[in-house]
Amino acid sequence: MAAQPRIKLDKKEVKKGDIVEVKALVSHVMETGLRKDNDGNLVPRKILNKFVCLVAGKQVFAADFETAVSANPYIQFKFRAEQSGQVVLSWTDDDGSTIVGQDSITVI
Amino acid sequence: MRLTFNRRQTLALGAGVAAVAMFSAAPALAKNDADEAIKKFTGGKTPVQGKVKLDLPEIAENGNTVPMTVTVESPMTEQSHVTDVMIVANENPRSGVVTFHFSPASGVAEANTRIRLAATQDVIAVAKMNDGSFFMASKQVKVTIGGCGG
Repeated sequence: MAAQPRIKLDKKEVKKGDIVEVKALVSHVMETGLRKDNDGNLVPRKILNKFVCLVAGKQVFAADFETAVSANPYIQFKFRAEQSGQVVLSWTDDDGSTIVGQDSITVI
Repeated sequence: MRLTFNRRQTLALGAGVAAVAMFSAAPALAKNDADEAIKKFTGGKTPVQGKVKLDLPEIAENGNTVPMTVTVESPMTEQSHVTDVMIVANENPRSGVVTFHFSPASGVAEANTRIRLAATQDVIAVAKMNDGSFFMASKQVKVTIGGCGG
């Protein structure tokens, strides 16, 4: 559906135990369900309600978004690098669809 | 029929309205269920001030995107770490903003996102530790143009 999320890691090659910062931006309307369109009808709620980050298959960070998260949600967090692998970020929509983006890190 | 009041009746009516206004204002300190949301999150415990740092602008010109950073002091080890941080806003149409879930693999209990604020209000962060204790911080943000499509 929407464009691919933009993901940026502050470093790609790290020492074991180093802290890596992740910044991610995904385009989404994040419709609150409280707003009315020009005809006065409520625009139905449609938000990304869940975000999960897995590093080498292990969850390092997650967030539950409510309607008060801005459109095109931006998220920034950190994790401790333990082993090389894929960094997989996924957002779940109210309708059950998911937006997935990934990057990788190498522990040296 | 036209209603007319003399001076005495008008005064009595005014006093009545004032009394009603005072009674109705007393229980409704927060516009939404922020207090209940915190109680539900903590299981009735009262969170202690401290350890949590909530970074928000003093004045938000546009309530549609207010950058927010929350940091919790913690070594983030298996023995002692932050498990969840809930953010609520007490004057938004809905109190919930976001809940972050951390684990020892997070390394640092810090997260940043952009939030919507409908009006000038307090944003409250409540952190849950793995030992069952709760810490909190709050910050007032003055909003010039409200978010949430208002």
